[in-house]
Amino acid sequence: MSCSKPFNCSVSRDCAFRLEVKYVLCSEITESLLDHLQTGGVPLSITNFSRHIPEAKDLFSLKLSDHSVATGLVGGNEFVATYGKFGEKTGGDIDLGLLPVLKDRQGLEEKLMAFFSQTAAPGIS
Amino acid sequence: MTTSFPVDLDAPHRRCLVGNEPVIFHCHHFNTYLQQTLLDAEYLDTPKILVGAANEAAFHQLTSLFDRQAVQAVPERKKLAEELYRWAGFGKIDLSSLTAEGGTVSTDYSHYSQAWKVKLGKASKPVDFFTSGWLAGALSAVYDLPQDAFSATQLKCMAKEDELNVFSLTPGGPNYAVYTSPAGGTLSKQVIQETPVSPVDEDAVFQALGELPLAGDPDTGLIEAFGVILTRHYANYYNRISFEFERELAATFGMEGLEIAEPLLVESGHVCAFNTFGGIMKSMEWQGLIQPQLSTKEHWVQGMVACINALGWGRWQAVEISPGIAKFIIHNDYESIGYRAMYGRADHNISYLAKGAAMGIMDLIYIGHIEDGPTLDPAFYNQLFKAEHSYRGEVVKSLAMGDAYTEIHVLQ
Repeated sequence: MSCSKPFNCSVSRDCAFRLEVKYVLCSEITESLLDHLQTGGVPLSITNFSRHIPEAKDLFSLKLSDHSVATGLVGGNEFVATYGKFGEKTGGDIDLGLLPVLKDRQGLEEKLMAFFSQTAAPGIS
Repeated sequence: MTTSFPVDLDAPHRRCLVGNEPVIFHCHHFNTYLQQTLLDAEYLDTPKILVGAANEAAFHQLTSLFDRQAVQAVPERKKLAEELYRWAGFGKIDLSSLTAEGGTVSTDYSHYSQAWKVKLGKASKPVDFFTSGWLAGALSAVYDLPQDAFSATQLKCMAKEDELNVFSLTPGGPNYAVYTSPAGGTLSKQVIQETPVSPVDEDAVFQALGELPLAGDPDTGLIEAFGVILTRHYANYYNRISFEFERELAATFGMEGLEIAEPLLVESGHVCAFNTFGGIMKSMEWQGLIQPQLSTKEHWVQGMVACINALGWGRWQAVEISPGIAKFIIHNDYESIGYRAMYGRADHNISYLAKGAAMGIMDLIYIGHIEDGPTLDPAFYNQLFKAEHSYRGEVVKSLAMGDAYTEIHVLQ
């Protein structure tokens, strides 16, 4: 069983005009997903908030490249990735739909697709 | 997060010192806005203040660290200085080309230049005054020379769309104001006040946030967190540039100068609150750590205060919170500590950042409904902070003026 649509994403600009993509996944973020996403040497860091606050969720951060990072919560079902070099872009009207797919984004989304095509997602078909 | 230099955490006072310099978190919005505020006063020579304040902090910090760590050899000193610059989120710097005779140094990552371009667009002149001064101070410390041994000039700037930042260091005396760092200052006795019952475990939040890897990226020297670019900056830098700006305005225009300075500096605090606090309250960090503890807007204020207490700004307490009024007590706010150490007791309140920040908390939570995740853009800023119904702040007690702590009331 796999997700028919592994994730939805919404695209915007962050305060530095970089591409910011919010991913809503079809199932919760597990350690096995994070293991999958860090293949190829992508550095992963996890801050164990739950060690200090029982009801807290742990924070993960994946450094996709020098200029792209994804951050979310283990056990949540969404995360945010920011793509692009800080200070490279300035403001102005930009049609987000016309942006080229960045290599970092493509790499991340291919990994997500691959993970959910192989992995059963309970309750979602 | 390990460093080759000691990071001295003073948890009871919610402060952090490195090389006997208090270091505090601020974001690129505040750094750029505050610098621009000074530069806009073209009738004053504010670049000399900006460069001089950086020279002051870097020289004192590195001199202290070299002494404490018994670092004698020039290559090791340069390595430590480079690491510290990166750790603090200022960017990347390679000091290997510099000698006791000065030299030229370039970098392709600079917090100040990159932030300027993002915030304000292409600059017409170089804008990384901070790194100019930092380099002059650092080089003097590395070679055991007087603090003002070098002049510093920025030749190229990424904010001008040059490919790199390029700086020239020349022996023969300063081209900036020379200040003596007051180091950590003298703290007042801290008597913790009673606060409303809170679901936020503040000590646990402090511990948890302390574990975030908030250091400059090894490749870029920048700190990305909470949706902004952070720096672990020098409290004495902010204090020096703010208070020297105020003093120069007063020297030029008398009382009117002081009246000009206050709203400008409070506005910097407002900008800080909007972007940094707004970014924090929309962040994954907040959602993971703080938000599970919150159910009312008053809890959001308490959660935000818990986060502020991890920024190194002194110890904040929200002693009264309601939609109509909030009362914040700040023990050893960094502005007051710095002012007293630099200039003695103040004859007017000077907690500008704290006032703007306190107002910003209330604006974001009660007017801006930050829990709904609004977009933090200029239109929202104006809607929140420039409206008739925006909160206003009153500093009713001032540590800088001799009170036991600083107290700010925020009312609508």
